[in-house]
Amino acid sequence: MSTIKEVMLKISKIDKVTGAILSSYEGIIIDSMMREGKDEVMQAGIASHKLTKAKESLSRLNLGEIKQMNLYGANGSQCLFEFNGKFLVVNCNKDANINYVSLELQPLIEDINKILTK
Amino acid sequence: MGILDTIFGNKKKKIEAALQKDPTVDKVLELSAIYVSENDLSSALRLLRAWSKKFNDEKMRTTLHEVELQERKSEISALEVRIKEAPNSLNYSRLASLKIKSGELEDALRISKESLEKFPQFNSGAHQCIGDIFLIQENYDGAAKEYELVIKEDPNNFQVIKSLCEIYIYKNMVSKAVSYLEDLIKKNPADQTLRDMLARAKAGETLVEEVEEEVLPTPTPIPVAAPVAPVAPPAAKSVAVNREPETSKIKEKQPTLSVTAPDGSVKEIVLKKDEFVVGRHQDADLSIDDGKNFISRKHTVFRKVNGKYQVADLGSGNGTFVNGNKIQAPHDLRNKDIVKVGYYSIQFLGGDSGPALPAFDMTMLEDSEATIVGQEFSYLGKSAEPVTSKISVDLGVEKIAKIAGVNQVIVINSSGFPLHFAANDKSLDEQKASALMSYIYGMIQVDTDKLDIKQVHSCDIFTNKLSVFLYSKNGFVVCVIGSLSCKKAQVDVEIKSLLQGLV
Repeated sequence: MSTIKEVMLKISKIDKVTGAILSSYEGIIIDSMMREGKDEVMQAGIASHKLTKAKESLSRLNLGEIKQMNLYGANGSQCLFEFNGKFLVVNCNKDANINYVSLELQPLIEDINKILTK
Repeated sequence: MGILDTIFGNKKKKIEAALQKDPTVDKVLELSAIYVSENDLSSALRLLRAWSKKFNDEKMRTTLHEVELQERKSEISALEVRIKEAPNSLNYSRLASLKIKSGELEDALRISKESLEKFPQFNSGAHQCIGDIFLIQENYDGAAKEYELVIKEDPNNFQVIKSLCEIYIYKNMVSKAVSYLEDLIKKNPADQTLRDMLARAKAGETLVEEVEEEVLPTPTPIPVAAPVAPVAPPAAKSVAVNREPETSKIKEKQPTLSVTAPDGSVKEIVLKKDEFVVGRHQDADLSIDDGKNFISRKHTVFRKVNGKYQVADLGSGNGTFVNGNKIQAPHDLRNKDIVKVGYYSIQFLGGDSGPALPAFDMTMLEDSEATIVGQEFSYLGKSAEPVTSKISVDLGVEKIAKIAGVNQVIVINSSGFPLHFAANDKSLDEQKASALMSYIYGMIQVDTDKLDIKQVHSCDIFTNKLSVFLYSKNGFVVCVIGSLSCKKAQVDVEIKSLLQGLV
C-alpha cells in the first residue's frame, strides 16, 4: 500500500493541479504539497472554516453531508473533499477542467481514506 | 395565401425585412399584431416600445398600452395559477404588486393581507405592498407603520427607508427622518440623493423651530403695515416641505411649474405660452437631461386648452407620470399635481382651483416600482425595459427547472431573500433555503483574497444526497439544487442568460 506522501505526490502531478493539503478540522496538517512560499496552515484554516459552515447550513436544510465542494475563482479553482473528519484541499489553475481533476482524484481519495482508517 | 403566409411565418419575415428597409407606422402595427396573435407579447412590446420612440403616433401608443395591459393580465393570471399550485409569499407579493400597477388597490390589499395570514413571518414584501397601497390612498400613518415593519425585517431596504423618510418629512417628524438618513448615509456615503434628502429634512427641522419661536409671545409688537416682500423661499423647502411660503401663494395666481432636478435643486418657471414642451432637445421650452437617457428629446407638453392646462406625453420612451400614474391621454392638471419626467419632478402650481394634493412627492412611489417584492429588482424601476428583464429572469429560472435532475432553482438577493423560485420538489422551504444558501455563498467569499483563486464567482457542493450549484452576479445568488445525476454542464448553459438578466 502506498503512503500518504506518495498519494499526495500523485495528486500534485495531476494536470493543472498547483497544490494539495491534507488536514484535520482542528487545523493539524497531515501532509501537503504546496509550492514554496504558500502558507498551508492559513489555507487549511480557511478551507476548514468554509467546509464547517457549509456543513452546518446544509444539515439544517436536511440536504445531506458534504462530500465535495468546488470553488471557482477569478484566478483558479479549489476543490475541497471531506472524509472521516479530515479534508483534502486541491488547488488548480484557472484552466483546469474540474470534472477531469475530480475524476483523477477519486481513486486517490479512496487510497487516502484506506490509509487513514487503517 | 395571406393566412397561409401568416401560419408559416413568411409574412412576419417579410414585414420584419420591410421594416428594416422602410419603417412605417402601419408595418410596426402589423408586425406587432402578428406577434400578439402568436402570443409573443414580449416581442410585440419590444417592437412597439422601440418604434414609438421614433414615431409620435397616437395609434401606436394606444396599441402599446393595450399590449402592456394584456401582458400584465397574462402575468396576473399566470401568478394566480402559480399561487394555487405553490402558495408562497413571493408569488403573493408579486401578484399584489401587479394589481397595484393596474390600479386594483382593493384586490392588492386583499392579496397582501391573505399573504400575511398565511405567511406571518419574514413577509416584508406583503408589508411593503400594503404600505404602497396606503401611500397611494394618502394614508401616510398607515404607510409609515407598514414600512417600519418592512425595515425591521429588512434593514437594508433602501427604497422603503427613502419612502419612509419622505413620509416623516411630510409629517414634520423630521428628527426620525434625520436619524434614518444619517444612518443610511453612513452606509452609502457616495449617495447624493440621500444627502439632498437630509438637507431637506434638516431644513424642515429649522422651519419647525422658527415657527415655534413665532408662536411665543414677544414683548415688541409686530408692525402691522409691514410691506410683504416676496422673498424667495429656500429652494429645498418650496417643494419638499408641505408648508405654504408666502411666495407660492402669490405665484399660484399665475400657472407656474416648479421643477425639481434629481440633485434636489428647484427652478420655477411661469407658464406664459399656450404650449410648453419639456424634453432633452435643445429646442424644447424646458430642456432637461437626467444623464440617463430616461428623458426623450420631446417628452412632455403642457398645453392650454379652454383656459385650463393639460399635460400630455409626446410618445416618450419612459412615459410621463402624474401623481405616480402613467398617463395614456392628455391629463387635466390640478393645482399641485406632480408630473414626473425621467428623474425630474415638475409641480404644477396655480390654474385650476380644484382640490389640492398634498405636497408629498408621489414620484417616490413610482421609483419604488422597483420594489416588486420588498427589496427585489432594484433594476426594475430604473430600467428602460423593466418587464422584459423580469420576464427573462422568470423564463431563465423556469428553463433551468426543466433540466433533468433539477429540484429547485432560487434567485436570492443580497439580503438573502428569494426573488424567484421554481421547484419540482416542494419539500424545501424557500425562505430558509435562500437565507442559508446566501449565507454559504457569503461565507465562501470570506478571505478568498488570501487564497490564490481570488474572488469566487461560483461554487458546487456535492453531498451524499444531492448537488448544489451556486452562481453569483451583481449581489444576486442563483442556487440550483438537484440530484447527484443532475448535469452541471446543462445548468451552466442556461445560467448564462439568466445571470445576464440580473442587472
